[in-house]
Amino acid sequence: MLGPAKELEGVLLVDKPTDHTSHDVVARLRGKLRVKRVGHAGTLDPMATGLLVILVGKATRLSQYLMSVDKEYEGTAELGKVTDSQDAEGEVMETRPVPPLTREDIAGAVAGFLGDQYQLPPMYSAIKIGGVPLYKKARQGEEVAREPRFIRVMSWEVTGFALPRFDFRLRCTKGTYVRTLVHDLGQKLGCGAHLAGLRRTASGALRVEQALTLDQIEALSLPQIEQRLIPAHAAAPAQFL
Amino acid sequence: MSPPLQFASVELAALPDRPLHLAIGMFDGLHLGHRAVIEAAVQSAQAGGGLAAVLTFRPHPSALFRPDHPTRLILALPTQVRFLGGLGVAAVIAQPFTPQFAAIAAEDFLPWIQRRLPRLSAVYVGQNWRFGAGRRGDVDLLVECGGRAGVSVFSAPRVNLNGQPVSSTRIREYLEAGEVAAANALLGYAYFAHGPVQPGKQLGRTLGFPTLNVAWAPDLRPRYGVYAVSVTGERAPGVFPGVANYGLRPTVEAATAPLLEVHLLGPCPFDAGDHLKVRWRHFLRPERKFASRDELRAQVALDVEAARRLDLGPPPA
Repeated sequence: MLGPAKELEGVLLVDKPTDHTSHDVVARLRGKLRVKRVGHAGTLDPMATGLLVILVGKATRLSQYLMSVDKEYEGTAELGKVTDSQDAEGEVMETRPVPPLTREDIAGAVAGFLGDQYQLPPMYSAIKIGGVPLYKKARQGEEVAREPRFIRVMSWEVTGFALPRFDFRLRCTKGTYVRTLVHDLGQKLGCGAHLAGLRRTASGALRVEQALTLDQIEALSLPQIEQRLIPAHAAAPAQFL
Repeated sequence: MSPPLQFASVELAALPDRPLHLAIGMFDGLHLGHRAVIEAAVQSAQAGGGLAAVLTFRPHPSALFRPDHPTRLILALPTQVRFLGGLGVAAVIAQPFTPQFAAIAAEDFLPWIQRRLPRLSAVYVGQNWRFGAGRRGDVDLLVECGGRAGVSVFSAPRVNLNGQPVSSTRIREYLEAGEVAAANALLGYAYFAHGPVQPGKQLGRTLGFPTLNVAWAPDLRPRYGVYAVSVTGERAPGVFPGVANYGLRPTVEAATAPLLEVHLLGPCPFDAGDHLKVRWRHFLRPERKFASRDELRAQVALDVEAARRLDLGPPPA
């Protein structure tokens, strides 16, 4: 007789498809992996793609550490349109003409957002107040008090430029809202802006290039998946194990 | 935390004999940027067995340079001192900003302080801070003077919130425009009034909305109007949501000085003599004169309803 199978444990790197919430990904993997304890280390908005760090079994205890590390993103901003959610999911609240900005103008404005700073989280966010996510309150048209967070933008580079859009690469601390940075940049430029696309490329030392898509994972057998799990000791310093 | 020692001038400052870490500035409002400077002084003092103190000025220098329209202060000195105590500051010196003091040449500014405070070990300022006659001194000069005097100089960079600089000027503008939520974001705490409850004229009670009249006379007057507030006081634990009217009460009496009246949404445990902290959370509407008391009563009922619908959660700090 075989004993009960040993529960899977470790860190799985997933390249999240668009139109999935982070929780959708967790739910699909929970079914596939047949493990109750599955979590993720840091929400990606439904629209966003890229690295979602999935914690399986006992590795869920690494969640605090893995959530706390710096993040790297690639994204696209669209100037001239302000949306209520600050990304392409929301309603367009305002349309303003885009002045003939150069790539250097954008690079200069972006540089003003480097370094330590405070950021007020957007109304549409996963933060909960009194147990209710802010986005639910925002949908009901409620204005709630939010607290500024301390963040740092380590780098923000313009990587592509075709008005009214530009592409960028950005490194920032945990808890930074990229769509809020883009929204605030639009306010600074005067024409407004929203985040048109976002892909997380790294979370600490973990990179999206190491990640599998959901479809790839679902095509694997459990032993094959087990081989892809990063052991807890390789994903976090010893004091967090 | 024990309240900080308070001194009425640099000359009068009798500080404990320990290395002095001195943050210098108006620090009006103690916003996020100010706190970065002050926390640097507090942390260095703690690390080195030193004493963290703040040197601030009264009145605001603008009272000397443009007496017809001086800058109005967000925080009264006693409130600022108490707040600084909470940040870990052990002593506060409120130096009179006199013509003689203002005439000290920038080069002489640091030596002038050092002669009077010989344990001066380090000074902490905001990056844009100016000092000395004609505001000629800047951080570069301070570093130069510090090098000669053996005093370390630390300057904190300007702090941004959502890409905009955090500044007392912007906070004053927001408060005067009634945009209290925007002001609170820059302050990093909820703007508040602090004062004893005074026996009122019972005008609110006759309207069906009993109010606590809080004695409070801020230098900078926020926009007259109705606000959603969070009230705390020593008599009862917890945070009590309410609506506050700040203004001249044009419908009932047309007062000459603005009054702060607070109506709690639930039962009121407070009474005359209690000291209350009233945190301003959200602007509901400007003050206006109603044609009748009935019209006012109907509007107050709507204000109370609006405050109830707001889910403001616990106030920040």
